[in-house]
Amino acid sequence: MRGRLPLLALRTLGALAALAALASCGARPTSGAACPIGTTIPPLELSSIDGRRLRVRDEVAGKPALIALWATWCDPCVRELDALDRLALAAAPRGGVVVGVSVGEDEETVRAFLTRRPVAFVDVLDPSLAFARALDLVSLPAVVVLDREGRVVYAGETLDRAALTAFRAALGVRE
Amino acid sequence: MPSVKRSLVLFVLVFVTTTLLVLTGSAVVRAEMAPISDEAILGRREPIVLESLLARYTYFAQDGSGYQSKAGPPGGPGSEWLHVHEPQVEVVFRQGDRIRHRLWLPIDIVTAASPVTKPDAVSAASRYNQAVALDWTTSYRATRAVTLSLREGVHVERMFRSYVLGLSASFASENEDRTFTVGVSQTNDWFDVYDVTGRRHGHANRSTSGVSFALSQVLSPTTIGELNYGLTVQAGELGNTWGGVPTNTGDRDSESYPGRRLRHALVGRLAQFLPWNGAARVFGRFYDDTYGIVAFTMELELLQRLSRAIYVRASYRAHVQSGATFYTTRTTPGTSPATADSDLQELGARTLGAKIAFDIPTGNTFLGARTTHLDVAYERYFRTNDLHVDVISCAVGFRF
Repeated sequence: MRGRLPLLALRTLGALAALAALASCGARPTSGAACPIGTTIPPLELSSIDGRRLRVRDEVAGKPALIALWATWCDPCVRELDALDRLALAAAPRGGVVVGVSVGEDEETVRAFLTRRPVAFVDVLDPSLAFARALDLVSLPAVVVLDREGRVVYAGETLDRAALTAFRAALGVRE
Repeated sequence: MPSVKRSLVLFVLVFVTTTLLVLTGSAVVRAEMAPISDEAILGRREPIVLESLLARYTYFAQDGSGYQSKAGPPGGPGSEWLHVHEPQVEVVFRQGDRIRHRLWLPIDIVTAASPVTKPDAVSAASRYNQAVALDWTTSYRATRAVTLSLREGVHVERMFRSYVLGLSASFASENEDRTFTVGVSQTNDWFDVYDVTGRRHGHANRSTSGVSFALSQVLSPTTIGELNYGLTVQAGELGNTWGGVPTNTGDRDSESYPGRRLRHALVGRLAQFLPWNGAARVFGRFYDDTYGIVAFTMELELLQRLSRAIYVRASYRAHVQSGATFYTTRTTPGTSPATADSDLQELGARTLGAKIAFDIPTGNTFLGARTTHLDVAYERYFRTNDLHVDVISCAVGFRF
């Protein structure tokens, strides 16, 4: 008990200091930091995991889209796959599309992973990071939402509430 | 009339069929239109989500000699034989989307040979000692660019208590390729004072205040660099108090330290991904303090992934330092400050290490863990003033 009281006091002081620091930071939007809002995705030709050559821009043309950048070694990315599957199935009948972009890994690695754990969305390969770099995305996971015109309306780190809200808005549906 | 009857029957048939079709159709539409709400896509929001759990056991076996130890000939260096068993547990969990906690609980079980020669100080406490610590770091992702961290720690052993509180704030640049971190920390130690004869002289305390600045920068898609500067001010009783200093009269005095110490440390790190699925890390540290110690440390670490589940690591570390201005192995009785602690002597040290780690995908089949982690590591530390330490560690962990 003697040891607990000082610890609690220190923790309270620490929490107050953290709150004070937070107040001084102010609120900043959590989206759009890396990939500029309003830009369009690059017209790069990439390979899909099923062997097709395609442009993500053509794949999503005229459809609201959520693009998820991920890698097999990235734990937070892999944790999102279930949610991305559900989103792909929910978005398709509403005219939307989910596209996965496997960043920085070769086809063999991604294919081996997706054989064990198939996904419900189209996945394309970006082994040289060309797609990610063109969007100024330097960390994984990353999520980009496009409207029907192919413009970036949201860029964030994970498939969270903010990303979903942006995607629903692009689809024109309410929760 | 029959035609009216036929029309009525036809109407009922058409109505029922249409109703059935509409109902069936809407059911089909409903089945296709899976819900797209936050809960339907992201799942139920758990207040606490366990991310990883790791149990590690580390064994330190130290041997050598130093003049501060009495377990040797009069006026000569004594044994620094010391064994430590350290089981540790690390738990990482998330609280909501923005808060992450890391709890680390090490338990030290220390067996030391150096104090066995009577009448060395702290006798039983040093021969066999247990210590427990709890380190709790909470980070809060305030915005995409700003992360705040709060660290608290408590260390308790037989005659020693220590509390640490640290705060840091990280600011990421717009495109997240640069991060600036500023941190402050305060450590307070309270402990019993024993002199070289083993007599207790009440309590003493020590304060350590630190401030640090770090800048990390993505230099290329496969290279990251970091520069860190830390300033630390220590005040209070800075020695162990029970360490001895041989005197020119053939006796031993208690060591004594200046009551204030200012330390500067400049650290540079570079990490490079290697195209054969490996990575190289280089670490350099320049250190300077008001005790007169100037040190330079260099470390090279190579990591190689052998398969998706296995990687190995090899490391080499070199350290050189000048001695403290008041280090001596032969002092005049009553001289202060004076120490014979071999850690403060001019020395060179090397560390060689190797590790093999396994990250086995278990696909939620084992305790709900997606990955099971196993590793075994060995390090040997040896230095020019007769001290070497073997460190063996093994761990088992789960990522959820």
